[in-house]
Amino acid sequence: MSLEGEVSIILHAKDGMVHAVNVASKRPLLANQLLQQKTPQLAITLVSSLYRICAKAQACASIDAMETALGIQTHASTRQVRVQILRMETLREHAWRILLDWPLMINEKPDNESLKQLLQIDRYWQQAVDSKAQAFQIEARALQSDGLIKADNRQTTALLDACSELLKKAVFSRSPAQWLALKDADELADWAEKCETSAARLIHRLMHKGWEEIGQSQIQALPDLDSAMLERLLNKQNANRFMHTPEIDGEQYETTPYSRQYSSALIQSLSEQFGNGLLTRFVAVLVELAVMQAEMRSCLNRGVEYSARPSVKSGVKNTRKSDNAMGIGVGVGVVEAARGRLVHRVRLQDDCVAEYQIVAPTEWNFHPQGVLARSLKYLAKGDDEHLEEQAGLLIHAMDPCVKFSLQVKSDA
Amino acid sequence: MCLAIPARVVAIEIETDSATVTLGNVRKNICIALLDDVQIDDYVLLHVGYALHKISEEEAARTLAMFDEAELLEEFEGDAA
Repeated sequence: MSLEGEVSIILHAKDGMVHAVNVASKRPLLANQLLQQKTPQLAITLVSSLYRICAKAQACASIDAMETALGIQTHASTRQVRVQILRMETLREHAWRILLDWPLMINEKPDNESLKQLLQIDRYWQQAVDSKAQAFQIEARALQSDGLIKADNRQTTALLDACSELLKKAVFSRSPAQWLALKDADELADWAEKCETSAARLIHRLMHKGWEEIGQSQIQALPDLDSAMLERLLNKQNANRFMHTPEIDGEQYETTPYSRQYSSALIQSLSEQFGNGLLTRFVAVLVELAVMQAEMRSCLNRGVEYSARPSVKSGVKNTRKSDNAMGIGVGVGVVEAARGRLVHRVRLQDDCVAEYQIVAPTEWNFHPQGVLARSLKYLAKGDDEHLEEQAGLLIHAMDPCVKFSLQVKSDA
Repeated sequence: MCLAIPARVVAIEIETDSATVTLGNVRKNICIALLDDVQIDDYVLLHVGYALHKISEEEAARTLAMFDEAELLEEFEGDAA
């Protein structure tokens, strides 16, 4: 097992059809080992350094867990700053896949230059939204030193304009807000045919090949998990098993951009027509990309009088400290990260971390009986190469974060 | 939830925007197109074949020391992306 982990996927096929699927996520559980005996603030900093890919989602979940454990009530504006940083990270992570991975699926070159510009926007965004780098300081300290954290509106507006322009040029061929107005498959097909970006050409290819419905599966979206339920799932002998292969009362769930964006008019329309197969899943990533831009803009327009409870779609689940069902010294943080829901749980003892647990979205989605495993059983009939292409698309649509290996084994 | 492991740049090929990095005895070719001004001996964090961030030697040393302290580096098998 490597430190970074790997998802191994094996399809067993007979007569051109998949009849069995093995999905195994081989990721070591390292958080406890690395964070034990660290102070809460150091642990938060280390979490975002160690898990650098979704560093802000990790930091949000970590600080929320710590503040709950310490009984600290987070100020609404601080929470909102965290959510704004998290939204840009989610946008960046989706853009990464769309600009670098999606072109490869249609034999085009990755758009390194656009992603490079977006990485720069992300860096400036963090500086503009949280100029004194206080958002991930445990609340009591931030408030003692400097009061509320405020964003520089002129700079953040300029950055959002630049981000919107970049997405228009590299992904949508129109503003993200205009693209979000697409209502159904006909409008999507028209866009995909006329738009000159790799993302549009991938969607066009799926529709042209009639692959919209490939990989449909029956699985529920992960429901809200309250602190009492998480405590039940994580505070017991088989917590390690839950972190590796999470399920609730024997049921598996998915947590993906598709399950989050299901309420969008376009995704509902595509779901009705094509189910939750390849097309709907890829489009859900595009929808979430555009939604992140829209939510950042909307939040900015509202000014600093932010809602205390950010959108669950893209935000930090607001754990009410007074409802901490886990007891003093224990806390959970629940965050919608780019690839799905991320849960951190901490138990503090003598002012240090005694126990630290992380449940990552990949473990739900790449569970041996999870959404990917179920979807891979519904590929269109074909030879090994054909099956591998469809499976590769499905895996990318669900985005495991770590590298994956894919094998098709045809039975005689 | 990808763990970011620092790797040291030991060779750069400007024409292809690629570099060779090492972690311990393992060498790997990566793309450096997303970063500006990568130099030999810089430390970078990797993500699926790309250098994602440059980090200071001090930060790299701190992170590697943490892995070492937790006796994790021996588990490293080589694909740092």
